[in-house]
Amino acid sequence: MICRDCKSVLPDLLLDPASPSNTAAQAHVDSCSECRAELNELQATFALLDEWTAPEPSAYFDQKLAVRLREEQTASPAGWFERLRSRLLFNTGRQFRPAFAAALAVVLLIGGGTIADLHMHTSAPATSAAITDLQVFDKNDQALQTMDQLVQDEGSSDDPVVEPIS
Amino acid sequence: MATLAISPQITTRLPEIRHSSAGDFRQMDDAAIMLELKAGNMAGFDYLVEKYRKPIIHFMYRMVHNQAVSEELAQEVFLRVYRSRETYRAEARFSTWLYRIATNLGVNHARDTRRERSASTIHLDEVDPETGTTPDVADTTIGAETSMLRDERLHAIKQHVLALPERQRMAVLMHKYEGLDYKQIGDVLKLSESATKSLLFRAYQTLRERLKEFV
Ligand SMILES: [Zn+2]
Repeated sequence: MICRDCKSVLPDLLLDPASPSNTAAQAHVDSCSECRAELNELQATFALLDEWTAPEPSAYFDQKLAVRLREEQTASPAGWFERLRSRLLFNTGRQFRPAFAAALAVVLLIGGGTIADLHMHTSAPATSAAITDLQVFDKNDQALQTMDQLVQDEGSSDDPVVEPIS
Repeated sequence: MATLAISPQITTRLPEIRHSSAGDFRQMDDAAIMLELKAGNMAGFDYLVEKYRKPIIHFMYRMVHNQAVSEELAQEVFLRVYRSRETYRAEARFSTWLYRIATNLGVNHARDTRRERSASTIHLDEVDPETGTTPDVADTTIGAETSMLRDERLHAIKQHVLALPERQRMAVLMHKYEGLDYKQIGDVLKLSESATKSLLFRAYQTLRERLKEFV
């Protein structure tokens, strides 16, 4: 193995020294002081990067997320319906004993036309929310693609085929 | 820790009658928990937030270099998870999908703020809690000079990671700091595993060159 080839696989050697694919590089490094020095440098760089620590999440993260979630659920009829459904299905607490659930069902039935509404809400708003989200992802992907085009150094070989996120 | 449930009082006071408790979730994979969420069980959402909150905030933090912004963006990531609960398909690993949402948001944020930040006014000036104004025990024992050197080093790390081409930077953040493997990073960035590898290797070689004086 020549130095140029060895240097191109040094990160692999550092990260996965036991891999059979790195045997040749390992042998080269053992006999070439220049490549060995570079491997050591790479290792030191890798360790250096650990100095960049990120702060602990703030104490209010969950509360803020809960508020944003509730805003979203309140704003969306689907959210309201789901809230009701999830209470009936999963939270059979004091407020939602079977008798209460039955009573609530009656109330909903009395609502007459609203029951059709509810059925619509089970799918329609949820879908539209999802579609909006997909559109957002589409846009994001376009952004990523635009960004890729702006990026100078990447070869065409690793250009992503940009598709909407699933 | 069920503060995020739609009805916090109900889930926190009566955990024993929840459909699936946090204990059950630990036995389930994330995709199965997403199905619980799809079925309306908000405890599943709480669990996923609890599990991924810290890594996603940290990932965002290293993208935007600002704690408040990173937490806002991380919240947006989880809101999108919630919004997509109906359409989520367990084709990719949940965490891959999550990092993809996070990457998209981070990239968009960088794009939106690009005009504001010329090379010199980048968010690097924000004081880091871990290096910042409150001196820890180490600071009193090491000299001011050492501390300055440490700050300088940290600044260089941030600057040179930030200066990497977009995808190289994302790959490094996911690989070095989030511990994702090549395959997963490739899935997030829509690259093959070998392309991801070479992307990362170029990034690390660049960092080795540019951070030479600090190692
Ligand atoms: Zn050599």
